[in-house]
Amino acid sequence: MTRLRFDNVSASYGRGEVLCGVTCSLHAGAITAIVGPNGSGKTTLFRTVVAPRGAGVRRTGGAVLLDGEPVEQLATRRRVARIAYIPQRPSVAGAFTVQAIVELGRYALRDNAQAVRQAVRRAGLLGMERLIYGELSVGEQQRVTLARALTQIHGGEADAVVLADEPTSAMDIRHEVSAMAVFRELSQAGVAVGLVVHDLQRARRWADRAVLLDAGRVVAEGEADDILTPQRLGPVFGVHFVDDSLAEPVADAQT
Amino acid sequence: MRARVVTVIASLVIVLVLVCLCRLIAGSTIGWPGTDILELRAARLTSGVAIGAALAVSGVLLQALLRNPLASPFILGLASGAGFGVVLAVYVGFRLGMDSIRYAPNWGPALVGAMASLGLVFAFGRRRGQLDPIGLILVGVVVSAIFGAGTLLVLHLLPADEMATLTRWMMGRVSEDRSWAVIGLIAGGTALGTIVATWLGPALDGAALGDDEAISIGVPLPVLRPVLLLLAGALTAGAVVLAGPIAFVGLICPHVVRLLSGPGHRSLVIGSALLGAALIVGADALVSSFRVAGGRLPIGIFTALIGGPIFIWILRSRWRAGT
Amino acid sequence: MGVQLSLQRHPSPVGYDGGIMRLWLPVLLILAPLAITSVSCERSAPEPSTDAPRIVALSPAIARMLADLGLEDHIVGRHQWDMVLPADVPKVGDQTEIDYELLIELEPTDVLLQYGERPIPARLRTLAAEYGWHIRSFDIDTIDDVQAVVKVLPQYLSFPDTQAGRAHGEQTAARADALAEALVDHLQPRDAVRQAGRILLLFAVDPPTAFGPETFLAQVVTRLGGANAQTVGDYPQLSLEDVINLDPDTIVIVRSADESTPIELLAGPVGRLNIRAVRSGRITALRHPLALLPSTSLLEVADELEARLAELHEADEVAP
Repeated sequence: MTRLRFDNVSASYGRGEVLCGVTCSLHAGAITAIVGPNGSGKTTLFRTVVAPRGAGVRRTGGAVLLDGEPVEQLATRRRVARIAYIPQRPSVAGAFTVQAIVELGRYALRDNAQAVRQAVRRAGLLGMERLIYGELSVGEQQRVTLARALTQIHGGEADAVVLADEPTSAMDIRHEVSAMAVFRELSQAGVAVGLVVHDLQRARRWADRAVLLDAGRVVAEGEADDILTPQRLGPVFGVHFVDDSLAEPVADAQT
Repeated sequence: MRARVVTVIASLVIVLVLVCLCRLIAGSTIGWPGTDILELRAARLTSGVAIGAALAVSGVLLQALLRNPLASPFILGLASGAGFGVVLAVYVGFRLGMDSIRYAPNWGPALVGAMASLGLVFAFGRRRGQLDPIGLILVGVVVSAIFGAGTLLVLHLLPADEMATLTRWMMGRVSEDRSWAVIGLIAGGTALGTIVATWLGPALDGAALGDDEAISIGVPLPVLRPVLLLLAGALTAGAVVLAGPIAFVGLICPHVVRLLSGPGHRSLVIGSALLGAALIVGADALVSSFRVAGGRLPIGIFTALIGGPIFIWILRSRWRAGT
Repeated sequence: MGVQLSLQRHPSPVGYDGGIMRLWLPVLLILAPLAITSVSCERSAPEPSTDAPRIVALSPAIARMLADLGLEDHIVGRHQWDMVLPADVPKVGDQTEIDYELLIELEPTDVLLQYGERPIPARLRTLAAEYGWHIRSFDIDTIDDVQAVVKVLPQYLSFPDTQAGRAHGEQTAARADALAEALVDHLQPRDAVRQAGRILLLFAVDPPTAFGPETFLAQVVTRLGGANAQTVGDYPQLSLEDVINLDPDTIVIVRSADESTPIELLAGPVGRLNIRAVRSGRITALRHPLALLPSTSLLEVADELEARLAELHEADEVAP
């Protein structure tokens, strides 16, 4: 079932369009991988949702619909409770503790100590609550941001969307696996998970569905197994794969 | 953490009260003064509290909103804008022979100048319609330089006695030429601004996240930024009206309080307001109780002399800590 | 220190340049008229027709002395801050900078400076040797200095070695002697000043800035029989509290202001203090534009000061 729908979305940072009429969907209860080369508009696609009145990026056309309702028309509390965002490079100014950052997930919502505790545990941050965010490794910081997002949608998973932009890129393998397990659990609870991911093998391993972007346009959308194939990915990324496992791609000769 | 915050705030309150007492007994003669002198000292005390709190809270707001610990009212050009407003008004009054402008208390033009430079920074420090932290600082430095040059130009065109008077004004000192009405207005406005900033503390905490992330948790950043920048500008302008340009208070106080009570903005706003007030009142008590070359030292020189080294010390210790 | 800034996805520093350039334009437009008004009155064509001596007076004090010696028409260049000479005399420079190009154009015979202990710039000395200018620097701080300098000034001027020139020189020297004598005669104790009690001379009122005992104007007050209330410092910055403690009998605000400017405006917070001088209305303004100039203008300044204090005295007598 479609939870979040991008309907002919165009977006721009001022000069030239970064997204040109993107139409695709995130389904409730599914992990949708967003894949595509650098600069194909993956991050921008998420930003058109979380900052509808724009922080830099401007939507120049189309609509983003949450269960049929334009996201910019949602009241702040409803939007916050239903759409959580995990940015690619989270940054925090000031010496805030892990606990304080995770609690920010409830900024616009009713305080919920249990949600915070549970999120800390699920993100593997037990015992780290008093540490200073800025002094953690990037992988640990990504876990804090994950916990913050979990706190935010706590209790409303059945209606929620989580937009995660390379959420595990700096995590060690153990934490990556457990973080991905968390996303899997979320999708099983009904969350529509959007996952920007670079590692195509992992995308195929974790995702139910996939959207393939190239130069701001959707090249293909559908079941992950149908989209994440050497035939589809090769031309878009400019590589060819030695076999169906998507391992060991070889760059096409420059023309 | 909560206990620590309470301890820090309570200590700062005690320090402020003690410093205020010192201010009342310090002067050309040390001791409890007669009624006339007590009124003068009380006026300077009230001005000092308002100046210090306004500058410090303004600094907290700017640092939070621009996510830049080096932001301060002075780096953003507000002081030089105010300075330019004052000298320009005196020049216009002098040229047109309009005494009402030339000899008027200079708070009107100071306010206009500070707001004008804020407006310029606001208008040109934006990128694609958004306030941009780096852009604001860069434009602030440029606006500051331009207004500074404009000030020097106008000073150059004034007669020597006006020039000397204005040069002293630009060193910064707690003005004694302000009626209780003006002091009350600015002190009241500062109190109100401090309360608003405290109330918005959690939003400032949220703004510590990146822009998109902050908006995604419900911080109304596109509205918050202009509103709080305006508040910061108004607070600074009030301080400039009472004291001329006094540097470093807006930069130092938030840093010191952050070291003591942590990054949470509720405690940061309250603590900085208290520390800023204590700093200015204390400095004023100090400069009032001794003479340099037969006269009083301008407080702006004093705060810069004290504040500069403290800032470098904080910078060094933070570098050593690796953050 | 972690300066954390949110970077855009596509940072483009070029975007700022446009913004900053746009910023310059309005500011320049605001400043241009100011610059033009100041520039337009600065340079006018030198008039080489003037007979020798052709004097550049890089000191307002010396300019005033020369004018009093009847040599105003021989001054071809003046000081940056000069307020004595007509506006069409070109401004050549000040203690920190001299416009050498203009100086050469002006073809002076004599360049007079008030550099005090500051050395005469090497460049000026070289050019003087090359073009045959006579350079002389004076130190004028006290009333005695004024007297001494005005007396010797004619000796240093290059009057032409013709009969008319020598006559002019002698005539000027005679005037100088008379002027120096007049200074001595003029600066005697006067009743109005003596009766004014301890006089606080204020240079500025917010913060109150006094004339210390060594300042030129304080010397004038003392010579006229008055007592300067501020006993230390040059131009010390005071607080209102200090003014209350000094409790002077008379306050004189020194500002180059128009007659029409009311004293309340000039006195500012000092005029609102509850002290003897204010209560009894013994607060006045010395508005002479050359009040601070250590020069022969002090004759007028002394008269003006006496007149102001006499006014206060008369007001006292009218009042019960």
